Amino acid sequence: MLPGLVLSVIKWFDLKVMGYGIFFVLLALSLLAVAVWLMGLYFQHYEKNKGLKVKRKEGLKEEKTDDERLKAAIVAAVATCMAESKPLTRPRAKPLSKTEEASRWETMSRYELMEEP
Amino acid sequence: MSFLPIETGFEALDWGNLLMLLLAFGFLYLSIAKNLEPYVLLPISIGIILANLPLTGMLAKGEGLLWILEHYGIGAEGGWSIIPPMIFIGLGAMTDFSPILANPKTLLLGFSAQLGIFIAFIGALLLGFGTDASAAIAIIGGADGPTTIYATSKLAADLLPATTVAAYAYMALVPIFQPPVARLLTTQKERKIRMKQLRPVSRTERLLFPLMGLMIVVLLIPESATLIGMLFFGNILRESGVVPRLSETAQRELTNLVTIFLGLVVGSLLSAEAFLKVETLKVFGLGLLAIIACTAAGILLAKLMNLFVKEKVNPLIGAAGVSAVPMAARVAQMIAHQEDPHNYILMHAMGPNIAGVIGSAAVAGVFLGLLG
Repeated sequence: MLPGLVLSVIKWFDLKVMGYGIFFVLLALSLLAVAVWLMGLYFQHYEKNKGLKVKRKEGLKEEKTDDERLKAAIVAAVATCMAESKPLTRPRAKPLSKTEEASRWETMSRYELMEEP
Repeated sequence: MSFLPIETGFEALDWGNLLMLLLAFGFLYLSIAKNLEPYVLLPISIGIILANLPLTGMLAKGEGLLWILEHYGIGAEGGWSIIPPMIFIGLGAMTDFSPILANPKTLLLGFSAQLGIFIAFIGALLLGFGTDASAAIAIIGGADGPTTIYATSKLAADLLPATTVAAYAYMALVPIFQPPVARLLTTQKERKIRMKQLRPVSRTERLLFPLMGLMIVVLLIPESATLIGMLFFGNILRESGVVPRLSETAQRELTNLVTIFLGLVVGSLLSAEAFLKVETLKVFGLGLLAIIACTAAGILLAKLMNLFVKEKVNPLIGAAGVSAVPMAARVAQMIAHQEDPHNYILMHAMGPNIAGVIGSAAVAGVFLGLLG
Protein backbone atom coordinates (compact mmCIF):
# COMPACT_ATOMS: atom_id res chain seq x y z
CA MET A 1 0.00 0.00 0.00
CA LEU A 2 2.61 2.53 1.18
CA PRO A 3 5.20 1.80 -1.55
CA GLY A 4 2.40 2.05 -4.11
CA LEU A 5 1.36 5.43 -2.70
CA VAL A 6 4.96 6.67 -2.73
CA LEU A 7 5.38 5.49 -6.30
CA SER A 8 2.20 7.20 -7.43
CA VAL A 9 3.28 10.48 -5.74
CA ILE A 10 6.66 10.22 -7.47
CA LYS A 11 4.93 9.59 -10.77
CA TRP A 12 2.35 12.32 -10.28
CA PHE A 13 4.87 15.03 -9.37
CA ASP A 14 7.63 13.67 -11.58
CA LEU A 15 9.82 13.77 -8.52
CA LYS A 16 12.40 11.72 -10.39
CA VAL A 17 12.97 14.60 -12.80
CA MET A 18 13.15 17.03 -9.90
CA GLY A 19 15.44 14.82 -7.88
CA TYR A 20 17.86 14.31 -10.74
CA GLY A 21 17.71 18.00 -11.54
CA ILE A 22 18.54 19.11 -8.01
CA PHE A 23 21.21 16.43 -7.63
CA PHE A 24 23.06 17.22 -10.87
CA VAL A 25 22.96 20.99 -10.50
CA LEU A 26 24.05 20.84 -6.86
CA LEU A 27 26.82 18.41 -7.76
CA ALA A 28 28.02 20.54 -10.69
CA LEU A 29 28.10 23.75 -8.69
CA SER A 30 29.63 22.07 -5.62
CA LEU A 31 32.39 20.48 -7.69
CA LEU A 32 33.02 23.83 -9.32
CA ALA A 33 33.08 25.55 -5.91
CA VAL A 34 35.56 23.02 -4.52
CA ALA A 35 37.76 23.30 -7.62
CA VAL A 36 37.69 27.11 -7.41
CA TRP A 37 38.46 27.01 -3.69
CA LEU A 38 41.45 24.68 -4.21
CA MET A 39 42.69 26.77 -7.11
CA GLY A 40 42.32 29.88 -4.95
CA LEU A 41 44.35 28.31 -2.13
CA TYR A 42 47.10 27.32 -4.52
CA PHE A 43 47.28 30.67 -6.23
CA GLN A 44 47.16 32.67 -3.00
CA HIS A 45 50.10 30.63 -1.72
CA TYR A 46 51.87 30.96 -5.06
CA GLU A 47 51.33 34.71 -5.27
CA LYS A 48 52.56 35.18 -1.70
CA ASN A 49 55.78 33.30 -2.41
CA LYS A 50 56.15 34.99 -5.77
CA GLY A 51 55.87 38.34 -4.03
CA LEU A 52 58.65 37.40 -1.61
CA LYS A 53 60.87 36.19 -4.43
CA VAL A 54 60.36 39.43 -6.34
CA LYS A 55 61.18 41.45 -3.24
CA ARG A 56 64.33 39.44 -2.67
CA LYS A 57 65.33 39.79 -6.28
CA GLU A 58 64.86 43.52 -6.16
CA GLY A 59 66.67 43.78 -2.84
CA LEU A 60 63.71 45.35 -1.12
CA LYS A 61 63.09 45.17 2.58
CA GLU A 62 60.77 42.29 3.26
CA GLU A 63 58.76 41.10 6.16
CA LYS A 64 60.78 38.45 7.96
CA THR A 65 59.57 35.32 9.65
CA ASP A 66 60.71 34.36 13.17
CA ASP A 67 63.28 31.95 11.75
CA GLU A 68 64.70 34.62 9.48
CA ARG A 69 64.94 37.10 12.36
CA LEU A 70 66.70 34.47 14.46
CA LYS A 71 69.13 33.70 11.66
CA ALA A 72 69.84 37.39 11.13
CA ALA A 73 70.40 37.90 14.85
CA ILE A 74 72.82 34.96 15.03
CA VAL A 75 74.74 36.12 11.96
CA ALA A 76 74.91 39.67 13.34
CA ALA A 77 76.03 38.45 16.74
CA VAL A 78 78.71 36.21 15.24
CA ALA A 79 79.90 39.02 12.96
CA THR A 80 80.11 41.45 15.90
CA CYS A 81 81.87 38.91 17.99
CA MET A 82 84.41 38.16 15.28
CA ALA A 83 85.05 41.84 14.63
CA GLU A 84 85.50 42.77 18.27
CA SER A 85 87.11 39.68 19.66
CA LYS A 86 90.77 39.35 20.24
CA PRO A 87 92.00 35.78 20.28
CA LEU A 88 94.12 36.18 23.37
CA THR A 89 91.58 37.99 25.47
CA ARG A 90 88.60 35.92 24.41
CA PRO A 91 86.97 34.44 27.49
CA ARG A 92 86.77 30.76 27.71
CA ALA A 93 83.43 29.37 26.85
CA LYS A 94 81.57 28.00 29.78
CA PRO A 95 80.41 24.44 29.37
CA LEU A 96 76.75 24.33 28.49
CA SER A 97 74.12 22.91 30.76
CA LYS A 98 71.96 20.09 29.42
CA THR A 99 68.93 22.34 28.87
CA GLU A 100 71.04 25.00 27.15
CA GLU A 101 72.53 22.41 24.87
CA ALA A 102 69.12 20.93 24.02
CA SER A 103 67.81 24.39 23.24
CA ARG A 104 70.79 25.13 21.01
CA TRP A 105 70.35 21.86 19.12
CA GLU A 106 66.71 22.68 18.67
CA THR A 107 67.63 26.07 17.22
CA MET A 108 70.20 24.46 14.96
CA SER A 109 67.76 21.88 13.71
CA ARG A 110 65.18 24.56 12.95
CA TYR A 111 67.90 26.46 11.19
CA GLU A 112 68.83 23.45 9.08
CA LEU A 113 65.25 22.73 8.17
CA MET A 114 64.76 26.22 6.78
CA GLU A 115 64.52 26.53 3.05
CA GLU A 116 67.14 28.43 1.21
CA PRO A 117 65.87 31.83 0.19
CA MET B 1 -13.18 48.98 -49.34
CA SER B 2 -13.71 46.72 -52.29
CA PHE B 3 -13.17 49.60 -54.72
CA LEU B 4 -9.41 49.48 -53.96
CA PRO B 5 -7.20 47.27 -56.17
CA ILE B 6 -5.62 45.51 -53.13
CA GLU B 7 -6.99 44.20 -49.88
CA THR B 8 -6.00 46.57 -47.05
CA GLY B 9 -5.15 45.65 -43.51
CA PHE B 10 -7.79 47.94 -42.02
CA GLU B 11 -10.63 45.59 -42.80
CA ALA B 12 -8.69 42.56 -41.51
CA LEU B 13 -7.85 44.12 -38.13
CA ASP B 14 -9.62 42.41 -35.24
CA TRP B 15 -9.91 43.19 -31.53
CA GLY B 16 -7.04 40.87 -30.67
CA ASN B 17 -4.69 42.71 -33.01
CA LEU B 18 -5.82 46.07 -31.64
CA LEU B 19 -5.20 44.92 -28.08
CA MET B 20 -1.70 43.75 -28.94
CA LEU B 21 -0.98 47.00 -30.82
CA LEU B 22 -2.06 48.90 -27.72
CA LEU B 23 0.38 46.81 -25.68
CA ALA B 24 3.12 47.61 -28.20
CA PHE B 25 2.46 51.36 -27.95
CA GLY B 26 2.53 51.01 -24.17
CA PHE B 27 5.98 49.35 -24.38
CA LEU B 28 7.15 52.05 -26.80
CA TYR B 29 6.05 54.74 -24.38
CA LEU B 30 7.80 53.03 -21.45
CA SER B 31 11.03 52.56 -23.38
CA ILE B 32 11.24 56.03 -24.95
CA ALA B 33 9.53 58.32 -22.45
CA LYS B 34 10.38 56.46 -19.23
CA ASN B 35 13.67 54.91 -20.39
CA LEU B 36 12.57 51.54 -18.95
CA GLU B 37 14.70 48.73 -20.42
CA PRO B 38 14.80 50.45 -23.84
CA TYR B 39 17.23 47.93 -25.37
CA VAL B 40 14.70 45.16 -24.81
CA LEU B 41 11.34 46.90 -24.98
CA LEU B 42 11.91 49.01 -28.10
CA PRO B 43 12.68 46.13 -30.52
CA ILE B 44 9.98 44.00 -28.84
CA SER B 45 7.33 46.67 -29.37
CA ILE B 46 8.23 47.01 -33.06
CA GLY B 47 8.11 43.21 -33.36
CA ILE B 48 4.61 43.21 -31.82
CA ILE B 49 3.44 45.89 -34.25
CA LEU B 50 4.81 44.01 -37.27
CA ALA B 51 3.30 40.72 -36.11
CA ASN B 52 -0.13 42.22 -35.50
CA LEU B 53 -0.58 44.24 -38.65
CA PRO B 54 -2.71 41.92 -40.78
CA LEU B 55 -1.98 40.64 -44.28
CA THR B 56 1.72 41.52 -44.15
CA GLY B 57 2.84 37.93 -44.64
CA MET B 58 5.67 38.57 -42.15
CA LEU B 59 4.74 35.39 -40.27
CA ALA B 60 3.99 33.30 -43.36
CA LYS B 61 5.51 29.85 -42.99
CA GLY B 62 8.75 29.47 -44.95
CA GLU B 63 8.53 32.96 -46.47
CA GLY B 64 7.90 35.70 -43.95
CA LEU B 65 10.89 37.50 -42.45
CA LEU B 66 9.64 37.17 -38.88
CA TRP B 67 8.84 33.47 -39.39
CA ILE B 68 12.41 32.90 -40.66
CA LEU B 69 13.87 34.79 -37.70
CA GLU B 70 11.70 32.79 -35.28
CA HIS B 71 12.44 29.48 -36.96
CA TYR B 72 16.20 29.84 -37.17
CA GLY B 73 16.72 32.26 -34.32
CA ILE B 74 14.83 30.71 -31.43
CA GLY B 75 13.82 27.31 -32.73
CA ALA B 76 10.12 27.91 -33.28
CA GLU B 77 8.35 25.02 -35.03
CA GLY B 78 11.29 22.71 -34.58
CA GLY B 79 13.86 24.98 -36.19
CA TRP B 80 17.30 26.05 -35.05
CA SER B 81 17.91 27.95 -31.85
CA ILE B 82 20.93 30.02 -32.74
CA ILE B 83 20.21 33.25 -30.85
CA PRO B 84 20.50 31.94 -27.23
CA PRO B 85 24.02 30.50 -27.69
CA MET B 86 25.09 33.73 -29.45
CA ILE B 87 23.88 35.73 -26.47
CA PHE B 88 25.80 33.43 -24.16
CA ILE B 89 29.03 34.14 -26.09
CA GLY B 90 28.46 37.86 -25.56
CA LEU B 91 27.51 37.32 -21.92
CA GLY B 92 30.67 35.28 -21.34
CA ALA B 93 32.80 37.95 -22.98
CA MET B 94 31.24 40.62 -20.76
CA THR B 95 31.44 38.67 -17.51
CA ASP B 96 34.21 38.96 -14.97
CA PHE B 97 34.19 35.80 -12.85
CA SER B 98 36.44 37.32 -10.17
CA PRO B 99 33.69 37.54 -7.50
CA ILE B 100 33.16 33.77 -7.74
CA LEU B 101 36.88 33.09 -7.70
CA ALA B 102 37.43 35.29 -4.67
CA ASN B 103 34.49 33.78 -2.78
CA PRO B 104 33.54 30.28 -4.08
CA LYS B 105 30.76 29.97 -1.47
CA THR B 106 28.66 32.20 -3.69
CA LEU B 107 28.41 29.39 -6.24
CA LEU B 108 26.20 27.56 -3.75
CA LEU B 109 23.96 30.61 -3.38
CA GLY B 110 23.57 30.46 -7.15
CA PHE B 111 22.25 26.92 -6.71
CA SER B 112 19.73 27.86 -4.05
CA ALA B 113 18.02 30.25 -6.42
CA GLN B 114 17.43 27.34 -8.79
CA LEU B 115 15.22 25.68 -6.16
CA GLY B 116 12.44 28.05 -7.20
CA ILE B 117 12.56 26.44 -10.63
CA PHE B 118 11.60 23.11 -9.10
CA ILE B 119 8.78 24.68 -7.08
CA ALA B 120 7.37 26.16 -10.31
CA PHE B 121 7.80 22.74 -11.94
CA ILE B 122 5.45 21.19 -9.36
CA GLY B 123 3.06 24.14 -9.74
CA ALA B 124 2.91 23.61 -13.52
CA LEU B 125 2.23 19.88 -13.06
CA LEU B 126 -0.59 20.71 -10.64
CA LEU B 127 -2.11 23.10 -13.19
CA GLY B 128 -2.25 20.27 -15.69
CA PHE B 129 0.74 20.94 -17.92
CA GLY B 130 2.69 17.94 -19.17
CA THR B 131 6.18 17.16 -17.83
CA ASP B 132 7.99 18.77 -20.79
CA ALA B 133 5.87 21.91 -20.69
CA SER B 134 6.26 22.14 -16.89
CA ALA B 135 10.03 21.98 -17.23
CA ALA B 136 10.00 24.74 -19.86
CA ILE B 137 7.76 26.96 -17.73
CA ALA B 138 9.83 26.35 -14.60
CA ILE B 139 13.00 27.67 -16.26
CA ILE B 140 11.38 31.15 -16.24
CA GLY B 141 12.21 31.22 -12.52
CA GLY B 142 15.87 31.58 -13.40
CA ALA B 143 14.95 34.95 -14.99
CA ASP B 144 17.27 34.02 -17.82
CA GLY B 145 15.71 34.82 -21.19
CA PRO B 146 18.10 32.93 -23.51
CA THR B 147 18.00 29.78 -21.36
CA THR B 148 14.20 29.90 -21.25
CA ILE B 149 14.02 30.26 -25.04
CA TYR B 150 16.50 27.45 -25.61
CA ALA B 151 14.82 25.01 -23.20
CA THR B 152 11.30 25.83 -24.38
CA SER B 153 12.21 25.45 -28.06
CA LYS B 154 13.46 21.94 -27.32
CA LEU B 155 10.83 20.86 -24.80
CA ALA B 156 7.53 22.63 -25.60
CA ALA B 157 7.87 24.81 -28.71
CA ASP B 158 4.17 25.73 -28.67
CA LEU B 159 4.71 27.57 -25.38
CA LEU B 160 7.50 29.75 -26.78
CA PRO B 161 5.45 32.97 -27.01
CA ALA B 162 4.24 32.73 -23.42
CA THR B 163 7.49 31.57 -21.75
CA THR B 164 9.73 33.94 -23.69
CA VAL B 165 7.64 37.01 -22.98
CA ALA B 166 7.17 35.98 -19.34
CA ALA B 167 10.94 35.49 -18.89
CA TYR B 168 11.80 38.86 -20.41
CA ALA B 169 8.98 40.62 -18.59
CA TYR B 170 10.13 39.25 -15.24
CA MET B 171 13.76 40.06 -16.00
CA ALA B 172 12.71 43.67 -16.52
CA LEU B 173 10.54 43.60 -13.41
CA VAL B 174 13.16 42.15 -11.03
CA PRO B 175 13.56 45.60 -9.33
CA ILE B 176 9.85 45.57 -8.56
CA PHE B 177 9.41 41.95 -7.39
CA GLN B 178 12.59 41.37 -5.43
CA PRO B 179 12.74 44.20 -2.84
CA PRO B 180 9.48 43.29 -1.03
CA VAL B 181 10.49 39.61 -0.83
CA ALA B 182 13.99 40.51 0.36
CA ARG B 183 12.67 42.90 3.01
CA LEU B 184 10.12 40.37 4.20
CA LEU B 185 12.70 37.63 4.72
CA THR B 186 15.53 39.67 6.27
CA THR B 187 15.89 41.83 9.35
CA GLN B 188 17.31 45.34 9.21
CA LYS B 189 20.39 44.10 11.06
CA GLU B 190 20.96 41.41 8.42
CA ARG B 191 20.56 43.89 5.57
CA LYS B 192 23.23 46.06 7.21
CA ILE B 193 25.85 43.31 7.31
CA ARG B 194 29.05 44.57 5.72
CA MET B 195 31.17 42.07 3.87
CA LYS B 196 34.94 41.94 3.72
CA GLN B 197 36.49 43.27 0.55
CA LEU B 198 37.15 40.52 -1.99
CA ARG B 199 40.74 39.47 -2.59
CA PRO B 200 42.33 40.39 -5.89
CA VAL B 201 42.24 37.50 -8.38
CA SER B 202 45.17 36.75 -10.66
CA ARG B 203 44.82 36.59 -14.43
CA THR B 204 45.85 32.91 -14.44
CA GLU B 205 42.96 32.06 -12.13
CA ARG B 206 40.55 34.00 -14.32
CA LEU B 207 41.83 32.14 -17.35
CA LEU B 208 41.73 28.70 -15.73
CA PHE B 209 38.19 29.10 -14.36
CA PRO B 210 36.28 28.96 -17.67
CA LEU B 211 38.30 25.94 -18.76
CA MET B 212 37.66 24.22 -15.47
CA GLY B 213 33.97 25.16 -15.48
CA LEU B 214 33.57 23.95 -19.03
CA MET B 215 35.12 20.58 -18.25
CA ILE B 216 33.27 19.98 -14.97
CA VAL B 217 29.78 21.15 -15.96
CA VAL B 218 29.76 19.79 -19.50
CA LEU B 219 31.20 16.42 -18.50
CA LEU B 220 28.57 16.12 -15.79
CA ILE B 221 25.63 17.52 -17.81
CA PRO B 222 26.48 17.10 -21.51
CA GLU B 223 23.16 18.61 -22.65
CA SER B 224 24.19 21.93 -21.13
CA ALA B 225 27.12 22.20 -23.55
CA THR B 226 25.35 24.51 -26.01
CA LEU B 227 24.82 27.25 -23.45
CA ILE B 228 27.59 26.59 -20.92
CA GLY B 229 30.11 25.94 -23.71
CA MET B 230 29.33 29.27 -25.37
CA LEU B 231 29.34 31.14 -22.05
CA PHE B 232 32.82 29.92 -21.17
CA PHE B 233 34.03 30.28 -24.76
CA GLY B 234 33.11 33.97 -24.63
CA ASN B 235 34.87 34.29 -21.29
CA ILE B 236 38.04 32.63 -22.60
CA LEU B 237 38.08 35.18 -25.44
CA ARG B 238 38.01 37.89 -22.79
CA GLU B 239 40.46 36.47 -20.28
CA SER B 240 43.05 35.13 -22.73
CA GLY B 241 43.97 38.70 -23.59
CA VAL B 242 45.38 37.60 -26.94
CA VAL B 243 42.27 38.19 -29.07
CA PRO B 244 41.07 41.62 -27.96
CA ARG B 245 39.26 42.26 -31.26
CA LEU B 246 37.23 39.04 -30.95
CA SER B 247 36.47 39.76 -27.31
CA GLU B 248 35.32 43.31 -28.06
CA THR B 249 33.26 42.10 -31.01
CA ALA B 250 31.54 39.50 -28.83
CA GLN B 251 30.87 42.10 -26.14
CA ARG B 252 29.55 44.79 -28.45
CA GLU B 253 28.74 44.06 -32.09
CA LEU B 254 27.66 40.44 -31.68
CA THR B 255 25.58 41.14 -28.58
CA ASN B 256 23.99 44.24 -30.07
CA LEU B 257 23.20 42.51 -33.34
CA VAL B 258 21.68 39.49 -31.64
CA THR B 259 19.72 41.74 -29.25
CA ILE B 260 18.14 43.55 -32.22
CA PHE B 261 16.93 40.29 -33.77
CA LEU B 262 15.97 38.76 -30.44
CA GLY B 263 13.81 41.76 -29.60
CA LEU B 264 12.08 41.59 -32.97
CA VAL B 265 11.53 37.86 -32.64
CA VAL B 266 10.17 38.08 -29.09
CA GLY B 267 7.81 40.81 -30.25
CA SER B 268 6.74 38.79 -33.25
CA LEU B 269 5.73 35.93 -30.94
CA LEU B 270 3.10 38.22 -29.50
CA SER B 271 0.60 37.87 -32.28
CA ALA B 272 -2.95 37.96 -30.96
CA GLU B 273 -3.81 34.39 -31.95
CA ALA B 274 -0.64 32.91 -30.40
CA PHE B 275 -0.61 34.98 -27.23
CA LEU B 276 -4.16 35.71 -26.11
CA LYS B 277 -4.90 32.34 -24.48
CA VAL B 278 -5.73 31.15 -20.98
CA GLU B 279 -2.51 29.12 -21.04
CA THR B 280 -0.51 32.34 -21.30
CA LEU B 281 -2.02 33.63 -18.07
CA LYS B 282 -1.15 30.35 -16.33
CA VAL B 283 2.43 30.60 -17.60
CA PHE B 284 2.70 34.19 -16.35
CA GLY B 285 1.34 33.18 -12.95
CA LEU B 286 3.74 30.26 -12.65
CA GLY B 287 6.64 32.43 -13.83
CA LEU B 288 5.86 34.93 -11.09
CA LEU B 289 5.69 32.13 -8.52
CA ALA B 290 9.02 30.77 -9.79
CA ILE B 291 10.86 34.06 -9.61
CA ILE B 292 9.57 34.84 -6.11
CA ALA B 293 10.47 31.33 -4.95
CA CYS B 294 13.96 31.67 -6.46
CA THR B 295 14.51 34.96 -4.63
CA ALA B 296 13.24 33.54 -1.36
CA ALA B 297 15.32 30.35 -1.64
CA GLY B 298 18.49 32.39 -2.29
CA ILE B 299 17.93 34.59 0.75
CA LEU B 300 17.05 31.68 3.03
CA LEU B 301 20.16 29.71 2.01
CA ALA B 302 22.35 32.76 2.66
CA LYS B 303 20.80 32.97 6.14
CA LEU B 304 21.42 29.26 6.65
CA MET B 305 25.00 29.70 5.50
CA ASN B 306 25.46 32.40 8.16
CA LEU B 307 24.85 29.80 10.86
CA PHE B 308 28.00 27.93 9.81
CA VAL B 309 30.49 30.46 8.47
CA LYS B 310 32.78 32.73 10.43
CA GLU B 311 32.51 35.72 8.13
CA LYS B 312 28.82 36.47 7.77
CA VAL B 313 27.33 37.08 4.36
CA ASN B 314 24.67 39.70 3.74
CA PRO B 315 21.55 37.60 2.95
CA LEU B 316 20.59 40.08 0.25
CA ILE B 317 23.28 38.63 -2.02
CA GLY B 318 21.29 35.36 -2.01
CA ALA B 319 18.47 37.18 -3.82
CA ALA B 320 20.92 37.89 -6.65
CA GLY B 321 21.03 34.17 -7.39
CA VAL B 322 18.38 34.60 -10.06
CA SER B 323 20.33 35.01 -13.24
CA ALA B 324 19.11 38.41 -14.42
CA VAL B 325 22.65 39.78 -14.84
CA PRO B 326 23.46 42.32 -13.46
CA MET B 327 20.00 43.55 -12.54
CA ALA B 328 19.52 41.21 -9.56
CA ALA B 329 22.93 42.17 -8.12
CA ARG B 330 22.09 45.86 -8.53
CA VAL B 331 18.80 45.36 -6.70
CA ALA B 332 20.65 43.70 -3.79
CA GLN B 333 23.09 46.64 -3.70
CA MET B 334 20.23 49.12 -3.84
CA ILE B 335 18.45 47.58 -0.83
CA ALA B 336 21.69 47.36 1.17
CA HIS B 337 22.49 50.97 0.27
CA GLN B 338 19.09 52.14 1.50
CA GLU B 339 19.80 50.62 4.92
CA ASP B 340 23.41 51.76 5.11
CA PRO B 341 24.71 54.28 2.57
CA HIS B 342 28.29 53.07 3.11
CA ASN B 343 27.59 49.39 2.51
CA TYR B 344 28.81 48.12 -0.85
CA ILE B 345 27.78 44.55 -1.65
CA LEU B 346 27.54 44.82 -5.43
CA MET B 347 30.67 42.76 -6.17
CA HIS B 348 29.66 40.16 -3.58
CA ALA B 349 26.19 39.95 -5.16
CA MET B 350 27.72 39.45 -8.59
CA GLY B 351 29.01 36.04 -7.41
CA PRO B 352 25.57 34.41 -6.90
CA ASN B 353 24.28 36.34 -9.90
CA ILE B 354 26.83 34.76 -12.26
CA ALA B 355 26.48 31.41 -10.51
CA GLY B 356 22.75 31.71 -11.21
CA VAL B 357 23.47 31.93 -14.94
CA ILE B 358 25.58 28.77 -14.76
CA GLY B 359 22.97 27.10 -12.54
CA SER B 360 19.95 27.83 -14.73
CA ALA B 361 21.82 26.68 -17.86
CA ALA B 362 22.74 23.51 -15.96
CA VAL B 363 19.10 22.94 -14.89
CA ALA B 364 18.03 23.41 -18.51
CA GLY B 365 20.67 20.84 -19.50
CA VAL B 366 19.36 18.34 -16.94
CA PHE B 367 15.78 18.83 -18.16
CA LEU B 368 16.87 18.40 -21.77
CA GLY B 369 18.87 15.29 -20.86
CA LEU B 370 15.93 13.73 -19.05
CA LEU B 371 13.05 14.87 -21.23
CA GLY B 372 14.38 16.20 -24.52
